[in-house]
Amino acid sequence: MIFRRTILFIERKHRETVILTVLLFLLFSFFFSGVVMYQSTESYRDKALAEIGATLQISYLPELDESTLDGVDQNILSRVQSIPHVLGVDVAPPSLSGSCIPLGLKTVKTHSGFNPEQQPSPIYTDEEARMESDCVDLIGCSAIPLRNQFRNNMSVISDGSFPTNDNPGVLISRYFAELNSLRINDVISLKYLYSDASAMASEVKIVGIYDTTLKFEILEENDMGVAVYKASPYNAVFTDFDTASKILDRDNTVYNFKVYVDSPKNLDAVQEAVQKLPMEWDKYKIYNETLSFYNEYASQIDTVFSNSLRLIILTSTVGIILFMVVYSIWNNQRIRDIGIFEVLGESYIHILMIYVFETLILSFIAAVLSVPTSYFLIQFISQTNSPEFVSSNIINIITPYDTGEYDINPVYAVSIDIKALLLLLIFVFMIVGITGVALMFLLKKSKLQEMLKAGEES
Amino acid sequence: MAIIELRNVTKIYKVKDAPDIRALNDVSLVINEGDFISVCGVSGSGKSTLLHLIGCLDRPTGGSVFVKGIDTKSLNEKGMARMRNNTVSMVLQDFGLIPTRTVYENLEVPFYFESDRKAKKDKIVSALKYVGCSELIGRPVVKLSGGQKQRVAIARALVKDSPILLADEPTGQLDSETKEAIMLLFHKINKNGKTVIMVTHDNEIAKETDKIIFIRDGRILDTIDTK
Repeated sequence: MIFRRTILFIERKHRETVILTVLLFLLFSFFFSGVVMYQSTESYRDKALAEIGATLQISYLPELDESTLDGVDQNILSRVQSIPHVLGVDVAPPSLSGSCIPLGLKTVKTHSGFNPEQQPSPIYTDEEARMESDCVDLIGCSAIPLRNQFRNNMSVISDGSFPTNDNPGVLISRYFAELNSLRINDVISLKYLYSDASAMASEVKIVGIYDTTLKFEILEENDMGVAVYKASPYNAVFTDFDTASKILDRDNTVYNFKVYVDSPKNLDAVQEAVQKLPMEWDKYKIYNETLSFYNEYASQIDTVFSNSLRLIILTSTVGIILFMVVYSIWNNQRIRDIGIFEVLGESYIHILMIYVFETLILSFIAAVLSVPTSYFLIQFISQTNSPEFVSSNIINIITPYDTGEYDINPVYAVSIDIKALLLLLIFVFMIVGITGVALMFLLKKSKLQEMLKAGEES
Repeated sequence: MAIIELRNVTKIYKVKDAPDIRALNDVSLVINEGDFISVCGVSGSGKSTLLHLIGCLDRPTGGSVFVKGIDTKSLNEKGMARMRNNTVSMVLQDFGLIPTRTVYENLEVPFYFESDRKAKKDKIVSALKYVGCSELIGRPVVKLSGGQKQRVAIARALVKDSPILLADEPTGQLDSETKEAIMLLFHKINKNGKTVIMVTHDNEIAKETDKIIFIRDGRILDTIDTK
């Protein structure tokens, strides 16, 4: 009955009902957009910045040769690892890598773009290209999780774990594993392509398999010919530093290392701590390798963050005031209706219930409409903030940041999640509560006789 | 047997930055079950205030108003609402109908607590038949004439079968022919056992009731039996 009575009230004033609903709709749309952007930015900020990374490179001076160096002591590396704000240390930069033949296994040839068979390969002779095309790219690294593709979640471990010196083995792609029916703990044989013919292949255990969203597209200007397959992200095989040294038959002495720091603001402190370590500092130099756009990107995220907060505060304040003004005007016009209801035996509390229920219905309609609208509103704001907006779906809006150097994808994802919806629901109830209190004051201060005389004539 | 009794009733309205208005001043009155009474007086004499106090729309500042033996001062908000819903029905001066709704929907309003849909519908149909408006049941109020609106307003007052019917200037907006018809309806209602009290400033209409109470400056000047 209360529903029917409420509908009867709503139908009493069509124009005002529409105006109120539109006002609520706009209020909720802006509020929800602000909340979603604020929450998304908050949760993505640290992660996104960590993906870009702040790094220090410790390298020997360019005029020196490895033969004149003793290498960096393992104890030094452990001490660097324990410095506050250090995320990890990679002891094999740029990479301890090389082409390896996976004996008895096929490499992944899946790609989009141009056919490498029909492209010239000026760099490689056909024979070399053929050999390379059937190779995997072995990448030795002591901090695999800190490599770009794992830091930005474009590649994610789906089985097993990352190889380390304590957990030696290889990490292969899901494509490579499925093509060769490989599983965790299987052993594969890898042979460095350029090793002696008499050299033995190394047997290594598969300790991890990763899924990747990386795409492999062969461009028209490909100058590697069929050798380009080795560069496929699906044929990358990650391994620990010691295993790589063994397979590639390289010296496992550490000459250079890279230090990953949690934020650029901590770089100076980390650098100072590193420089205090007992190294041959007359032969080494520290380079700040932090990407130049880090601060620019951080500032962009902060702008979205503060703008979202402004949007929430501004729309909430202006919206609530505007809504209450219109609602009060409307109620004053309907005060005679309230009087009639009271005369016919409705109690004060029932009338209050009818009104609150009425606001609840209008608010829910407005709130339901505001969710998809917010999606487009966020899209618009994101496009304005970042013209490189590329992809979207109903629950996620991914806004990559084009650095000019390379795309970080995804770095800023706006998600309409359950928490945001819950906050919208709380806001809806807050509005309903405010209108209920306002109506309570109106009913308290109005005398029934005055109410019956007020408003329009029937 | 007294159905309504006013004992030394005073009603004072407080007005901000102005002297208090004494709408009723020491009024005592007894109305028996089945009476048909009109309250006459000029504007501001206190007749509407008297009606509102009897109708449980307001409480007296001093004295007591008894409706069916219950002192309205002892009732809380909910109790007053129940009295208005079940004991005292009121026909408002300008009908008090919701214009955008149908006649049926207007008569539904007093049935807030009614869960039996069939019983509710039977009562609405019966009330409309009683006032001679059965054919108007599905019609929007906005399309009714003044006389039809008044009949519907009376039907709505009768629909809960309250023993007391109050009417505030029920013929004020009607032409003479319609006035007659409405008065005949009030007589019919009264003859069927209901106590009818109407406020009017039309002496000709007042003469058609059994008793006229003249009121001026918040006091009862005179009471005339017309029978």
